[in-house]
Amino acid sequence: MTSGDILNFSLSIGFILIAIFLSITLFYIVFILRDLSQAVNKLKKTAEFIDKTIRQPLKITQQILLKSKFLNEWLKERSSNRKKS
Amino acid sequence: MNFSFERSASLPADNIFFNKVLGYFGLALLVSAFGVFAGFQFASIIMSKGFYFLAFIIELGLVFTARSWSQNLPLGYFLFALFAFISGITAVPILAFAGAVGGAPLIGKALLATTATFIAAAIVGATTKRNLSGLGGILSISIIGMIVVSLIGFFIPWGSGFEMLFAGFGVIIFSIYTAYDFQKIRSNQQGESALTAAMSLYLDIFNIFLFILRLMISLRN
Repeated sequence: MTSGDILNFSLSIGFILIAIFLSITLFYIVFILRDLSQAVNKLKKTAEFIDKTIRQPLKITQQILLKSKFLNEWLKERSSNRKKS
Repeated sequence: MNFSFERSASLPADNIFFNKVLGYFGLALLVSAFGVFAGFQFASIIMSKGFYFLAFIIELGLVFTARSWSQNLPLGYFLFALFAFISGITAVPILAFAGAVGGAPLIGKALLATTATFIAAAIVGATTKRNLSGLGGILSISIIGMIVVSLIGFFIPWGSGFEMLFAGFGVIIFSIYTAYDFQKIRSNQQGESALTAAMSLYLDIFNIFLFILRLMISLRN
């Protein structure tokens, strides 16, 4: 056995180890992506539910803010009219 | 053969729901009109910040709990009517202010513009082949943005230019919301109750009216 043979042998073992390591990594990446996909789906459903639930409260909040603004302006105008008279 | 049977069997159910929603919506508008009338009749009693604060809290509470009471029907009808009535009463200062600024013609024009915008958006929503369901998230985010801007506006008053821009944006957003809601109701996608769907349309038209009124007032300024 020459030194070249030992080099080739250790290189082949190294490649095999790298291949095994990459396979395991790939295996776990597949698992992680699967979990991620499930998490994203859950998140999407939760976001849809929240959106569906808060849609009307958002509309009424906006409406009340507008009404309050009108009310403020109207009260101001009324008080200034009273002062004038 | 089977397909045509399924189509003819499913369409009337959707139409019944749609007609029911429109019926509730029309009734809500009538009750609101009655609320406005009552508000003007008892204006001297109810015209205080405290009363409106209470009315706003009741309105908020009714909308936040709508999902739970809309299924419970005898109670649901009463609470829906109560909501529309209170909305009518709280519209009194708006109409009084608009009347003071531009008189009855301004309110008339705003009502006409609201009706036209709402009908146009409803026709688009009910007839378009495009799926508008993807707009839901964007519209909600837009309203959150508008709420934040409105809150800032309470502390830092803005000029009529920005007011016009904001009101115009509001009209566009709620018109799209109307089309979106109409498509949702037409196809009855989310299994909503007819009362909640009618409330949604009611909130749309009321918001469009308020924004158009704001737009017209800022145009006058």
